[in-house]
Amino acid sequence: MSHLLVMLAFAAFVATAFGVIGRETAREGVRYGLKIFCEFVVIGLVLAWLLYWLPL
Amino acid sequence: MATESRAQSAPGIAFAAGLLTWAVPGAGYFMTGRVFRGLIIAAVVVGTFALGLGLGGHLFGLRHVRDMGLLAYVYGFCDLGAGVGYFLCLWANVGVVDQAQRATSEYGNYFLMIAGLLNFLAALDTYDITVGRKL
Repeated sequence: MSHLLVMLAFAAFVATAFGVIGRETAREGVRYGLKIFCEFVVIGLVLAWLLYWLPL
Repeated sequence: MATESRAQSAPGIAFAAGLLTWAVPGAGYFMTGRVFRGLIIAAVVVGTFALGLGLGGHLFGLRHVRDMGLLAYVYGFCDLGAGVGYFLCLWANVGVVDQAQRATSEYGNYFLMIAGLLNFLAALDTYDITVGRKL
């Protein structure tokens, strides 16, 4: 699996669990889970690009 | 008021439900009547755990590992959250050997830990639901 796929799988699993546990109704849970999934992916990609330009 | 009386009357059952969720991911939710929620949690925890093993991760025990110090105990505690699956893997000698030669082994280690931590969270959630703190 590529690194991107692993990150997407991680985000999907954690977002699903948080969506189920963190909210009471199904509708709220889906919205919360999607929000967390998007945050994981976007922040991960932004951090990856920032680290790409840093001379580490 | 109803919540308070429920909380006082069912701490033992709530503890059993939490313990059951820890042992068998999602099972405690069936006791509370939340079958769908239990199935989703079971799928997430088992899926994360299986993916961790597939990526070449290995389970840590609650013991000293050379050059790792206390971190090995923390990792072991996280892995322990997977419940029966953790002990089954130790018993069957699956996912015990470090596969550092594989590029994704570190990812696998963290997937295994995340599976355990999510299951700990689910166990606490089951306890809260049973005791009446959550709907």
